Amino acid sequence: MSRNRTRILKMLANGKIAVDEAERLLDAIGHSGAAAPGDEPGASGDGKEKPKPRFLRVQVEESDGDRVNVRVPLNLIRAGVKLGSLVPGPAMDKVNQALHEKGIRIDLGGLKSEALEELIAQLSELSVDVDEQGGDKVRVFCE
Amino acid sequence: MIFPASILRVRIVVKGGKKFALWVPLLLLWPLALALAPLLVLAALVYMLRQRRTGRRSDAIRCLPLLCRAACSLRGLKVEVRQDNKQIWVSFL
Repeated sequence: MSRNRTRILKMLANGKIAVDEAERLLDAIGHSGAAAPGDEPGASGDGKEKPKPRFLRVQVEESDGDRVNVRVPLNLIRAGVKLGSLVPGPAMDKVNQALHEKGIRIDLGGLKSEALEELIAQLSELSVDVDEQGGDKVRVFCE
Repeated sequence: MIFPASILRVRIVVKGGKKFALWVPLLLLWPLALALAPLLVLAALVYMLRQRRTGRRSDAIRCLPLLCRAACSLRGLKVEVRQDNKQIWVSFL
């Protein structure tokens, strides 16, 4: 059993993560097994090298059954940010203004492609789980 | 190397009603895109020269490879929406 698998099971046993979260993590380890052979005996990596995430997943489940499930390739985000850097200044100002009016305080002009790789590398750690009392659920993670 | 998406799959299901499924073979568009690429580059060059005359800077040439890259990155994109009794799937394979 790999170190990562043991850690996940320990976290589950200690109640730090829920069953479905553990299942998802174990599933992710299973899928990444081919790329990073952490499960193989004598493997040099032993789970130390994290597999690079390829997709950003956004899942929204409402209590009334409505559901949105989006899987965006990270390469598409990379290409989009690089394309965004070619948007002329006045057009970018208009986009930023429209975002501000919607309550989104992001300066898209400040998103540089150089910083993007670091951002994407950190995305593998990202996991957002929001469970509302009404039963609505939002999950954002990378896989 | 990133290969562009080969198939666009659209599926719409209305519970207890109609089903609609569409497979768009995007791979048939690749030769067309390749054939049009030189024309696009030429058009971008002409546009850039015209912009330069008016004193504006244009990144039309840089846009082309980035657009191509974005199109190639669509493989794996999946959107699934379920609302009331309707379900819509869009995926690039």
